[in-house]
Amino acid sequence: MLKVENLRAGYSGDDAVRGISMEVTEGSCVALVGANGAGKSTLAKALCGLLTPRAGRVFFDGKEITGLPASEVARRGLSLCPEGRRVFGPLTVEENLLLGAYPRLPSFGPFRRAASGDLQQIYRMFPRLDERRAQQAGSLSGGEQQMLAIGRALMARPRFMVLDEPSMGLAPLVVKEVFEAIRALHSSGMTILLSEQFAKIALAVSDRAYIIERGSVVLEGASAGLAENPAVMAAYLG
Amino acid sequence: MSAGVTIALRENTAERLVRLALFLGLAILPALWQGQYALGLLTLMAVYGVLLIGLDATVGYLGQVNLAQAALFGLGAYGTALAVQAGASFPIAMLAGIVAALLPGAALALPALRLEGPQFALSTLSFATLSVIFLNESESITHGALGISIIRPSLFTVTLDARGFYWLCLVVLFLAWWASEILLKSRFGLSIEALRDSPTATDALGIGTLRHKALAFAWGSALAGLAGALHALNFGYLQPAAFGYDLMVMLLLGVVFGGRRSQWGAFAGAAVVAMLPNLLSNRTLFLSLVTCGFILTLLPAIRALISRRLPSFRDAAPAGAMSLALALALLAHNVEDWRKGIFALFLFAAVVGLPDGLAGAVAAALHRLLRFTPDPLPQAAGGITMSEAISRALPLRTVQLSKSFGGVRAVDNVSLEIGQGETLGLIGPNGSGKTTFVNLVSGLYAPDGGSVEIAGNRPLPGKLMSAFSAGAARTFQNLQPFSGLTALESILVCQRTGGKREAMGWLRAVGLEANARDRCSDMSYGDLRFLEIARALATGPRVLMLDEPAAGMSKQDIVRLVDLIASIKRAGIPILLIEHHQDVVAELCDRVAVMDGGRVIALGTSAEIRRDPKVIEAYLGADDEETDGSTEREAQIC
Amino acid sequence: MDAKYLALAQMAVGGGLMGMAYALVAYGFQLTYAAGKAVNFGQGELVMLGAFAGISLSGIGLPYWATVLGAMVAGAALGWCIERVAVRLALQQRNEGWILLTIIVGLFSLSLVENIWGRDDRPYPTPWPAEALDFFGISVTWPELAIAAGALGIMTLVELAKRYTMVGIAVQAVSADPDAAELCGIRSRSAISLSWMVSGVAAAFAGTVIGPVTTVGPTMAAALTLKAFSVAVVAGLDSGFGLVLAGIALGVAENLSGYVLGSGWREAPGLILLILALSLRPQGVFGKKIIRKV
Repeated sequence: MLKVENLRAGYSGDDAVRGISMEVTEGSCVALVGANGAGKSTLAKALCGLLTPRAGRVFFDGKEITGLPASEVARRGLSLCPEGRRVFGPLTVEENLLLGAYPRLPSFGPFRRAASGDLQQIYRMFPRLDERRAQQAGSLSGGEQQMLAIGRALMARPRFMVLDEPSMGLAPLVVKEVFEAIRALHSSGMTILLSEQFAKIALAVSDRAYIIERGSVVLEGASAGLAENPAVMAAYLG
Repeated sequence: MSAGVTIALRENTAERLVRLALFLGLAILPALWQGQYALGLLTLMAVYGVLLIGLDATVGYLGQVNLAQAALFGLGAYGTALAVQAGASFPIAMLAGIVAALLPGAALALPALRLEGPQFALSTLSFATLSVIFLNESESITHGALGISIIRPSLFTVTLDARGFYWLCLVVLFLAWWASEILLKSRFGLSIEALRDSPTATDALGIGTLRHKALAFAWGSALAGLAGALHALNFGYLQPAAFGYDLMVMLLLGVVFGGRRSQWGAFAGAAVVAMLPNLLSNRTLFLSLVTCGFILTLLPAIRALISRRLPSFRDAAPAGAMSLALALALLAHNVEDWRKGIFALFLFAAVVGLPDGLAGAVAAALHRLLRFTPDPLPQAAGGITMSEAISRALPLRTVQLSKSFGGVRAVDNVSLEIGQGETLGLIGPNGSGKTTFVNLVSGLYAPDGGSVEIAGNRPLPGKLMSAFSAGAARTFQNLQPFSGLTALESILVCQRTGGKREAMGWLRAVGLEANARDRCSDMSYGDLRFLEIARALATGPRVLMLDEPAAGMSKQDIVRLVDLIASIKRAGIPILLIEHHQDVVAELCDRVAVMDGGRVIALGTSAEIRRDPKVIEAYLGADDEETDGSTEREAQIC
Repeated sequence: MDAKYLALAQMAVGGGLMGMAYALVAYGFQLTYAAGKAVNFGQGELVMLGAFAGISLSGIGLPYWATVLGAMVAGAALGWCIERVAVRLALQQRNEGWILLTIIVGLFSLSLVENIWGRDDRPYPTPWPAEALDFFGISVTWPELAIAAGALGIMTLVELAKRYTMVGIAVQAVSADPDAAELCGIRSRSAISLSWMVSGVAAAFAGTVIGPVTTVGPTMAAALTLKAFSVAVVAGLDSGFGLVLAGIALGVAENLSGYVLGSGWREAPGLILLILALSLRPQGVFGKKIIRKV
């Protein structure tokens, strides 16, 4: 479903992603695992069009999407749940969710009615968001914001979701809750690319994984096998 | 790049020779181009030259849109005129002009310089409008809209005729140019360029953003006053309306078109501003000039089409503006009626198409054609040493430091100490609050609670300069280079003591001696990281905070970095090191603090930390069933 | 009531009503600043162009309401143009070139107006009754009431649209976080264009209600830009709250100082207020503080 060929990307100076190739098949959950600063988030941004790659190509559903603007990529069904959550702080929880479905909703008409089915589904999945639907998103706790970000990405009815560091800055208990949601998503058939600094939990959820170090893939394979591999531990604690 | 003529001269010397030739030529020009009219234009050009060199100090060097220069020019002119009316002699009248611009300029600078971008432009614009209102309405002093007339007093015993006055103006222009060059190429000028690129870094490194801005603005105002004085003595008749919005736009046109951050640019701009209104009256000349301009602006679009891509907005827009100007030149009944519109089109084409102005374009072309002998580099001196006798106070101590953003506690009751000569590592997952902690210590943020003590001093919360004075120096996770400066200059502006030799010494210490002449904008990412460390070291810190120095570095660079930090450590400088590369931390740090969710969850030697189950959990994520029901801790990205 | 106080009250009411127009123009600044962190330094010229467009339309025999509508359409087109020509490139390069470029576009519009409509002031014809209304001895003219009603109407309408249409919410999302908005499939660039168009509509509409009160001429532009800036800065460039209050305050201060100090000084208090407000609270009296990130 997603194919990446020899992608290079970065901000200023050296490439943070140095020639990564990878593939995600439909219905699978693939993890990108690596320590902070390994280039996972740069890769995620380059896939979704927030960052124009310097070289290499990205294919989604067999069509090239390299260099398309992020809004275009999103409209094709590839949804990124960004690092650091990036919820719209001044807007309410419900408005945040509605924005996730923006391309599908009427610009001026009764958009709440058009989206009510999807909203109900998200609220069933994350009851805490239902309780706080009229609250400003910026006042939510970190875990709630992460759930909102996931909910917002789901509102687009994506066929492919990229979750970038969903555990970032969250307490262990909350991380567990978030990952249970991810697991549930996966078992409902969603294709997922999960970029994650916590190896254990990422490998537990995913089918396959790529271990990334300094912008390159150093290991890849089935998650179950990688979890046993001492090299993974070494990539973190040296 | 190797093509080009090599010149056996230093660039500075060559430039000075050309400049001297220019002034000599200007001095004898009245003999060749005779007539009152020509002399008037030349005098006006010299006066505008002084004015624009002053304006360039703010618009060019500070990088802020200053809309007050025309008004300051007017205030200077009125100051001189009133002094002459009161019977002042020539030099006193000139002085009065300078003071009349400098004082209100300073009064404006105090509030305005804390502002940036649109807010700064706005406050200068309102100042300009206020000044014109004042000149118009204080009829008892200025005679309001009627204007004020004076007769030029004699300079000591000499009565200057028009040509003599022109020469005087040339001399003043020469001096203003020279003084500006010295001022803006000095450490002071370098600091101004540095703060334009990164005001956060200049504050954190003790360069004193506000002070430098104020001085640059004052210098610009003084030159505006000087130009105003010459203007008053030249014309002998002043009206408030002459110093309004129209003149201001012309001046901006001059600086932008001529080229910012260059006295040559200011001079070229002055020539354009002085000649342009008079060009409009000669239709053939104007038409041919516009045609030339149009053809020139077509070039980028044509180049784009040749390489088979659609011309970008930037390629095409100047040509569009110039084609409109051409249409006006051909079709308008009276071109002078369209004066403002034509200025606007020229200015538009210049801002979009020539971001570095005429002088910038010519300089770039010359650098391609000619190669000059480079300035010799000084011998490196000094090395990494602790700046002064070690005091007994702890280099860094924080007590229950806390900071929240929205509903998220980014730093939560963090108490840490760094001992003499100690290197403390600070690690933790993304978003655990490490950078926020450094931002609190270095004074970028004010804490919500708790306190910071640096080498026994308590800096004011939320003040970068205060934390710096206490002895803190830092690098930035996201690089904050002084893009317009060279590596050597970047160090020079940060040094508290010492000159170029010591600056070279700092470059040698981080292995960048060979890059001394390179502009930061051209340096590699890894080298810039080393340069940031050299910059921080050059300030002579009592505690050095390195925020992810190895991020984005290649493997070889990381080896170099570890050597460098080890030598800093040997010199006895205490270090707070935030780092993700565990091998780096293990090798360098005496103790390591682990942050998670804004709190310090473990503190000990690197080996102890690595065995700590809480740390392993924080890094690798909890195993499914082991997590305890600890209170919810959260943090956000920093 | 004392005749002198009555005169002062009369001045204050007139100024306050005019101040609503400043608030409306300032509202245009807020819209574009929220969406793309840029404002139009030639907004006054836009107001003027709107007014002249209206005059020309009534010159060909259209009724007042049609001239207002026509001016608003022209304002939308001009707002779009300014964003495309003067702002987009500079913002992509993250530099302050847009300040210069919007000044330049304003200057060009001024020249255009001078050459098409001439340098003299013109009246803006309206169907309002000529006689003034009397409230407790203070007279209020119909065109003045139209300013207040129009300004409040437009602002309310846009604010409602921002809250209760998907497009409006999307524009708010873009101003909160353009990248995250892109990820939701919102085209940030279009949202910014849209906010400039609405800002242009507000400016042009302001021209059609200010015109009948003051007459229309090339000199109105620069002063209006500054006044609207004063209002926007005092109220805060990124918050809606306080805009109307600040506008009324400026209008009142202006009229009273003109009355007390002489008509040449009427603009001075606003400008001093602006410099003070900027230096004491750059984020605006009602604005929020900005957090620097490194």
